[in-house]
Amino acid sequence: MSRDGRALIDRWLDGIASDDDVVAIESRIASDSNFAREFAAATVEESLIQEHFGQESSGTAFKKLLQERPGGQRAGSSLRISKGREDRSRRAPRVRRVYGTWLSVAACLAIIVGALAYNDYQRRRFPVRLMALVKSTSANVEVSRNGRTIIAVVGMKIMPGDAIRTGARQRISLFYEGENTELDLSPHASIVLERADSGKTNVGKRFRLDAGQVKAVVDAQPAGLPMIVDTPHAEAVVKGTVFSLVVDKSSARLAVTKGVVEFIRKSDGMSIEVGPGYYAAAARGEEFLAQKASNYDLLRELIAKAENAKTYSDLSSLADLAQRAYRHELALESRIHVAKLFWLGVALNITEHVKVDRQAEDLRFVLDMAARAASRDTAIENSLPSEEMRMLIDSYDSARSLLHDRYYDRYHDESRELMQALEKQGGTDAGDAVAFGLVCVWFYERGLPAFAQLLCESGAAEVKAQPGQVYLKRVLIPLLRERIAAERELESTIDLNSIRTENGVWRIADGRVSGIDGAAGKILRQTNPRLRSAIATLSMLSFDEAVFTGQVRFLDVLRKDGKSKIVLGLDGSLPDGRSAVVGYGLSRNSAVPHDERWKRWMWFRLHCIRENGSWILNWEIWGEGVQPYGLTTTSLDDLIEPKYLRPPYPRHPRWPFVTVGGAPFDFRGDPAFALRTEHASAEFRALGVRVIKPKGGGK
Amino acid sequence: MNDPTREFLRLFLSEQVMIRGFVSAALRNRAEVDDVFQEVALVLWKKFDDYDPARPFGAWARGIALNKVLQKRREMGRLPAILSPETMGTLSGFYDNVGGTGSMREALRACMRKLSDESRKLLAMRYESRLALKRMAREIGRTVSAVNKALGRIRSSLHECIERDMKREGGVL
Repeated sequence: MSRDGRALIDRWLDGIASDDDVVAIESRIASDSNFAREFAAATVEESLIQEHFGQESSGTAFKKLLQERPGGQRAGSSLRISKGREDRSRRAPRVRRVYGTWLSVAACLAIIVGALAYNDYQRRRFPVRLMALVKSTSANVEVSRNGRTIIAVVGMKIMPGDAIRTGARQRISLFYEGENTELDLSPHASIVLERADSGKTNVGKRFRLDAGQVKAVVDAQPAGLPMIVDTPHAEAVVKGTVFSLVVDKSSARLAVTKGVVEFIRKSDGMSIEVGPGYYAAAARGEEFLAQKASNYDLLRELIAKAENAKTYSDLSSLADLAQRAYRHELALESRIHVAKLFWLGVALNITEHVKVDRQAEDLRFVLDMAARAASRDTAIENSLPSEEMRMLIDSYDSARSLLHDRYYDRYHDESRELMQALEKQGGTDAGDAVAFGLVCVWFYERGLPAFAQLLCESGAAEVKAQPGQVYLKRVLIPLLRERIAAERELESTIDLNSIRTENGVWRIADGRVSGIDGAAGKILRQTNPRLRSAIATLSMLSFDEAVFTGQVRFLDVLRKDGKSKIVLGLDGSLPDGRSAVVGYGLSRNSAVPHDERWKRWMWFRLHCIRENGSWILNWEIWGEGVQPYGLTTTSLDDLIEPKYLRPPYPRHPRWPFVTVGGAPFDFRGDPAFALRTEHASAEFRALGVRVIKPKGGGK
Repeated sequence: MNDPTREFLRLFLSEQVMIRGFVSAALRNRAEVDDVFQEVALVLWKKFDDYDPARPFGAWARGIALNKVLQKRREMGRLPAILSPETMGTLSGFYDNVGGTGSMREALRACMRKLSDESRKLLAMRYESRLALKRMAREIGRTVSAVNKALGRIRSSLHECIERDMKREGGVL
């Protein structure tokens, strides 16, 4: 490699690369694979050198941590293993100009000329209209380019010749600069931006869709240069339209929302025009013509059969019907019915996965399902694969009967009667309304009334037909509101906005203290006697390490309006007049400068107390320099990322110990913790506060 | 240790140097690299259930690392110039060719022994004491640029030495 290339890399490694250096590095990585290879190798060697000089790598520390933990529980941690931070706040100084001004100017000019030449080279290779850009993408979507695989990122250019493949749950959206053209690829899709024939520059956009679904909004294309989507079974010629094209092993299905698409079947070259509101399928055994998209009758048949399914063979026939419905859904892009099928899946999962007093994982799973179901757009975007759809349909009958038998006798009967009455009026949306209603009621009974109401309102917005809206808006939502209002009166037992000291213990009780930052929370009295538990919601804490023990039966994190809330399910068996430690942990104040954060550790312990039949949460907090109200809220996003909400969940071998935002190791034995506690204790003693240390913990 | 844990550790430890290298290619401040790398390690561990063993672990890890880097950039506002997402996406593929960090580690150890005392002292200042170049320049009475060049020369000689050793041992670099 050239000497100046190596010097560039060295400046980068030493943290003194200038902005011009960065431009040069980017330009060379894009155009010179030798340089890119050297750059990659140099950064890896740099890591090795650092490791050699005793900077214990995170990996090594990580390994130790895992080995120390029986079972290797997987969880988040705020492990900090770096040594001195002499250069933490350092910002790389610009390179000194040792070669004199003229040489620097010449170098800059060379870089600029190089960058312009590179851009020009790209432009000459591919007209701008043929280069797509990544608008949004899931993690790790792979782009194959010239035999190499690169990871798609937002803003990245997708060149003719590039191939994109999405995996399970992956999506990617592309757009074209200067025109209103967008392509959305579904999970399990494979698309190639085809190159123009050698020497041809006056060409249109051309893709090969080998599998999966692409939804496209296509701006008017230049005259004579339509967008062409090629599939194994058919070719779609697009001049400016909105359409959806789904390809599987045996068919290509096109549905057009706006404009006209020419659809050419490959087996015989037959061509048809598909207009708005129509769909067509190129598939063996199906007539090749544009058909009016209507699936109402099919759905009606599906619901009727599901209602009457008694045996496994009944369910199997339902699956075939569902397959047909599914294809129609995609053709029609009928959102409501796909959402409905999601809801049926939710109902099943509720009954199958969530038992009374089960752990947090189950609740999270249901929340995830419900959140997905509640989102109309998500339901559509996911475009369920056939297998999943089959599962949902198969589950329909058992879900209904389980709901009926176990939880919803009253509501189900009401709903059933209502549905029958509504169907007489010709509204299949009644089924949606019932599904929404059942789930809302279920969440209400689980002690999440506000969430239930939210879902119900979302359902009401989803259901278009008047009968369904009447059921949700006039019957169920008012009922929930009434119940919620009644329950709120019971929720006032405790308010975490109110903190006072009592015998040296920070106690949360009635009364408000000013200056509390973002603190909020409450204990709900559980009204369902079968649950025998109480629900506490806390939204004030940022945990680095937290362990919930004993009386906590489940735990979850909810997010609403950008705020995170921790939900603790407390065991109702705690006798009146008794208390139990339900959690303890470390928190830190993220408001302080980064390199001083270690000073801001706060140790807390959470008691649950039964008094006169009500619940009280009692906090003890201490930490160096921490004001009593100094807790600040930071994001718990990591915990509520949808990916983490799906099973299988990491499970601690000593369940019901669960953790929030931290690894479940016993930090009380950590010398650094003892140090923090010591500081904290002194600080609080100075304030005249008696510090209570946990039994057997700390030093 | 249970099997998934062992498997994770096996994969992670074999790729950790590469992952850290990739993160350090994206961020210039070493403290930020440390932070992001730790976060990447934890996310990899948390998401290990999602990992498809049919795919290379390194590529999967780099995807997550890239997302973390971008997240960091969003959090920090404007970091001192870092490579663009597109460049990082391009660069990611080249880490597949950086082979066997285990044998590289051995080779580096041997090559370190061959360095002069002065070179070792410079490296120790930079990597053990974690001194910034400015501070190093002050300590040894040279300019920042001179220190950078001296470190560059040492890195180059280490690189060549490692390459020679790896070729001799039949490894790939």
